[in-house]
Amino acid sequence: MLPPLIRIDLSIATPVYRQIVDAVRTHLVDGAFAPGDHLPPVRQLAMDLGVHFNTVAEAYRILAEEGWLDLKRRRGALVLRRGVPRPADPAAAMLFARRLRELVAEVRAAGVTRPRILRELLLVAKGLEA
Amino acid sequence: MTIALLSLAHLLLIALANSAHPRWTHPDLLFAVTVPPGFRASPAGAALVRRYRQLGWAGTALLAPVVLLPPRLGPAFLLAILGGLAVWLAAFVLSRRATLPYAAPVDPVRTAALEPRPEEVPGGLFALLAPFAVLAARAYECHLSWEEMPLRFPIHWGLQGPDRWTAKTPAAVYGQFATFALLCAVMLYMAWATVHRARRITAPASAARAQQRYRRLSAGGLIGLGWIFALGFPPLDNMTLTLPYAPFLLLAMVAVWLVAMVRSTWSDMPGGDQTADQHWRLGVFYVNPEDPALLVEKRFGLGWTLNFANPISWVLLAAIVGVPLLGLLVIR
Repeated sequence: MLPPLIRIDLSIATPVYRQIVDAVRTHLVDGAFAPGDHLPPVRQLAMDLGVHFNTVAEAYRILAEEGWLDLKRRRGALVLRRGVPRPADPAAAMLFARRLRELVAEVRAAGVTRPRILRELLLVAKGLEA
Repeated sequence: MTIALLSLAHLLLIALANSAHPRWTHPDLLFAVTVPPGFRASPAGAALVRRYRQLGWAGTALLAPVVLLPPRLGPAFLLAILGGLAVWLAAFVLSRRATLPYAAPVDPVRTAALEPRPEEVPGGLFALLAPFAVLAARAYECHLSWEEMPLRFPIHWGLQGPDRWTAKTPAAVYGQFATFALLCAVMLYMAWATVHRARRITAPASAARAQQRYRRLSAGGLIGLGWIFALGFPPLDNMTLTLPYAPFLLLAMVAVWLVAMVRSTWSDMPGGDQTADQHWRLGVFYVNPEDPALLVEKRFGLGWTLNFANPISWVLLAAIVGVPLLGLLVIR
């Protein structure tokens, strides 16, 4: 079976460390990794992506702060069993809604059709239910 | 006459290898320039390759009579090897310049597998450490039999046997061991770095296996070289070559390795080498301070090359060039 892949785009404005955080978190939420699995060491992932070590280290640090990873181990980053956090407070929920609207506006401006956006959102929702 | 023919054979081998060179890279690279897929087979691409070969063979033809009429043995070999390489390098640089207008933008998307690599160098730690143990044991053996060693011993062999000698001194004897230990260290570090400090391009499963084979072949060749250095050189035991056939063994090993490397090159793998053209000076030297990889695939020739923006590369280069010179100084 092929391992989960990460893709980053050096030409877009989103910082590379943020792209790594988003991509790895997506895999973690989708259950591509079980607790106890290892992510590649910082040096390996940095070399394979052709980015600075600090970029990957920063991404791993953010994911560790979110409770996904344990970085104390010597070989790579250990995936943790992450407890369900408290329900988001109203301010955080509003921020989430705003970010989602901004994202939808951004992709619509980029030419993605409404049915396509809806299809993707439904797929995400189905994944959540599963 | 034998020497002249041997030099000519060297020149022809260099010409044949370089003539085939455009086939030995990713299909979307031509003369170290990223080109659109299929460009190499297009009329424009084929014309560029044809021109490269014409330039190279024309230079080789001009060099051949000079090699056949050498004043002495040394210059003939040097001329054949350095002259041959210079001719084809010039052809490559000119062809690269002609290819640049066809350059395609490098794909800014990078992909990597999110799993640790358990891969080790062929032979593991034993392959990396045993040559040093062999050299240490042989140096100790020299120490034990110091009195029995003759006062002079050969340090260079020609086709007719030993042709250069040096006096038995601790510096000359142990200096040789130290020199070869350093050379071994460089070769074995490069082998380790080929596995652990080189970028892995994520590719479909079959291509990934091909890539792994290529990487292990490269590392295996370097480890073999380290072992040959440790077992066959320096030739101090009983003042003869430890392995009288070591140079031939070395040549045979290099030939087999080259054939294996050529057979597993990237000619079938699209996706380039994920490095940008602007980081390749003359298409040969890779200088990218943003890239943490120490080794990247060569765009001219087989195997891997150093990222010269990494300070370790300069240390390795200094060792490769400086250690043999240091060895010569010690012997003299």
